[in-house]
Amino acid sequence: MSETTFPDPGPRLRVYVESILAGSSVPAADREDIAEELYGHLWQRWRDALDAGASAAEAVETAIRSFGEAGRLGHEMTGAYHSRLYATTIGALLPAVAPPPGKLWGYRRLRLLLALAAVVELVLGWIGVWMLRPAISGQMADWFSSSRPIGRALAVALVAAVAAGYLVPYAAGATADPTQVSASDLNLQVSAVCTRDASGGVTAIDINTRLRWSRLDLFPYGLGQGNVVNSWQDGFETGVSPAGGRNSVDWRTAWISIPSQFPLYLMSDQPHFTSPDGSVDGLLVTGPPQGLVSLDPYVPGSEGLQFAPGGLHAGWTYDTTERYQWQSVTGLGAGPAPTGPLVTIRYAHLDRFVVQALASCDRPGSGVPMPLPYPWASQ
Amino acid sequence: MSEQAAPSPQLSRGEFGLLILGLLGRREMYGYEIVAELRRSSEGAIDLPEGTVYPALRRLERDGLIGGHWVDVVGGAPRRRYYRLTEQGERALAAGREDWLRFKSAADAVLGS
Repeated sequence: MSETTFPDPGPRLRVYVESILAGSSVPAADREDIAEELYGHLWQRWRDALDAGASAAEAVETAIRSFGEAGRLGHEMTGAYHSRLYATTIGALLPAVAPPPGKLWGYRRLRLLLALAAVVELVLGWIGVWMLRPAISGQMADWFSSSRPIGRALAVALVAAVAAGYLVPYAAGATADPTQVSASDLNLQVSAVCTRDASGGVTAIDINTRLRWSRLDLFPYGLGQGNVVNSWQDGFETGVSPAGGRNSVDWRTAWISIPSQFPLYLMSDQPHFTSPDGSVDGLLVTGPPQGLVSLDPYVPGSEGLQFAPGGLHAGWTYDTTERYQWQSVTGLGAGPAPTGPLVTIRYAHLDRFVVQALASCDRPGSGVPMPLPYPWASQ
Repeated sequence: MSEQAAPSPQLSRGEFGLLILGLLGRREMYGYEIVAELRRSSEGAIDLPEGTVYPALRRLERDGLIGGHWVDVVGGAPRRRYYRLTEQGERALAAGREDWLRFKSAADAVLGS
């Protein structure tokens, strides 16, 4: 019996594992071991999903979805190593100084400093009052008895002002940040032109994905979520169904036309591809995009493209065209080409939201926000 | 129409740890296997997000109740970290099982089963 070759799901699963650990304060000495253990679990889940008939991309989503919400897992992991007090105070703050993806070092450090100062101030304040209490209790009683009561409204205002100092940072993280884009700022359009054989089966689909941002984030990682170490980039994944997954009758990507002026990276489940500059064997195409990229027939059904950091510009239109071909691998149960394949484009903006567009032959589709947590974006 | 699945029972941290000890009392297991076995043994009643097992394992290991060691896997799969009970873990499992049975007996008496 021949051994089935599986694609490497590694990068996306590793990004997910990193997002779990980024939200935790796991000791550095254990970090690598934990990452490997979590990755091993996800890998096996992914492999089992493949065995159950999922496509490579679906299997990745299944693995991530079944694993749980990354932020919560990171918090629980912190709790597994540290006391509850530590986990809820210093431990919760430490991720703020974890290595960021390049920016906002100053902001994160300032935020950590302010948070630490608040904790220290609170503790010292209580200690001070406690130590002085025996000495000044009489004076305090006199002071209280001789003081004129303040009005209720003023008392409420004072308490509210003090409480606001503690609550605002949390509220800021929970409410919409006006400096951040939303799904409505993204215009995603997808169209598919199908080539059919004599019996009406679709043998090739040319998919055009057009996206345009009306505005972009003022701050890449937000004001309220400065402690989120975010290794996500913007990107979208293309999927064509029906796709049986595995190396059998399936769709495969024939080529992708990446506009040469746009810094898109190919992030494919098919690690083998060639570019006009020569053969490249790897996951990411580094450097400027290549224009037309031909893909080897490997495990088909989907592939993803990511924008290089800083590669997005408001008001620009990004057009990408790719061709999927129905392929039959001799001896593995060739079947007739499907008559009504469905194209799915899922665009993820960092870890914030996902916009999905569906299209079929001659029927274009527009992007609509997907409910969260979405497998890609639950971190 | 899909059938609505019954929600998983709410497990406290201690109960979850005890269940893991119970599984490891049978034999050495790695994380994925523990999750699968937990699901299988409970006939699907305990179906937690799979990642939650790892903080629990770390906690048990920190407390000296279990020990872990890496095992290489053939066929290109990532290596696995297997866990087994320590002596302290075996004692904790025995005590926990006894407490649980006592609690179950008391609950049965109250609920009249």
